[in-house]
Amino acid sequence: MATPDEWTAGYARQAGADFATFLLLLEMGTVPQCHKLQFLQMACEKLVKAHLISGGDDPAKLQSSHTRVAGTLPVVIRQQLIISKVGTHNATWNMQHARLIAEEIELLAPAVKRGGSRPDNCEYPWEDAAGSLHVPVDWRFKPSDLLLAKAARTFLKLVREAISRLQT
Amino acid sequence: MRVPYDQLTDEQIRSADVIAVVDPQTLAGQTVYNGPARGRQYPAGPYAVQIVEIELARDDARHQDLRRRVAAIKKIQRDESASELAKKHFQVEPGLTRVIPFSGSQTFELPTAEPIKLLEVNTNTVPTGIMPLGFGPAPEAGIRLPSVIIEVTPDEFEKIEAKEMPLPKGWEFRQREILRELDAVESK
Repeated sequence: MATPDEWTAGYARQAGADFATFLLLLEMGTVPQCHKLQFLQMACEKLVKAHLISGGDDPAKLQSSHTRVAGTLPVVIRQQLIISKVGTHNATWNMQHARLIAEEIELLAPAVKRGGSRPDNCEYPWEDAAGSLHVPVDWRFKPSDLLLAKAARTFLKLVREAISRLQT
Repeated sequence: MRVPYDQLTDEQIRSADVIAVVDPQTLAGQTVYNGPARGRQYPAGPYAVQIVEIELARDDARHQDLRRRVAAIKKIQRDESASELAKKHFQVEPGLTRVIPFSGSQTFELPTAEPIKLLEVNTNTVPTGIMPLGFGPAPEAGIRLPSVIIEVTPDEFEKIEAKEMPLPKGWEFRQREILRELDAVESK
């Protein structure tokens, strides 16, 4: 039977592969945003799950559930900010930005709709309040804009470092 | 490092990761303290593990005194580490209003160290329920012990206080709240 440490490392390894794919797709202009962002969402969710297992959660339960990252990912980012040399000159600002990005990343998952107000997601078409159909492949996602901000580079570095930390 | 019981200093206990008692006659050993065992260190090792062996005969009546002394010093050390970690969190989080340490036992139990457990109330977070996030030690950043953090909104905290939202097993005993430095000065 695998130990919690092994589960943590396993989730981190898969998160690392998702994140590497996200970075690869980010460089490819022809790839739709929804696919790029889906890999970022998956990487962040697995990173959070790795820390939840380390915090005592049951790995089996986490395998079949969606984990909300808006409240949890910033805690992981904060820890990484504290132990990393990245972005520490304006840590408060980086944290505020990280919370914004984390909220938007959470909304990329189809299971999260914020009370129906944000049905946009990376995977499935949705209908808006006026009855118009939207398809992820055509949609311009808010995280894409946030990822262009200067703090996003710090955020992405911290995500990558946090994943690496658990893999070693 | 092997030390006779009479020459053991508080500083040696503080710096020890593992403490064992060794009978000088039989050389039979018994672990008194073993921690912090949980959590991966960052960056990855190898790290030196400080082991202190204390020479004390098996039938010596001072065994209990030694356990009490180690427990007291290690508890102080854990409380200091918790305060240091909370201070780092306060520094980067303007919305952090309360940091409350918790423990799974009323007394500091030897031999295995419990991770630092902090319940944090943050006005900038979103409600997600009780989500304990575990972190390994990061000695280079001054974080010597593993920690588990639960971050909640002020509304969720009220539910926890009202026992409508239970904390996980191992979070039964509330410790003294850690204050932001300015608040701590004002409350004196």
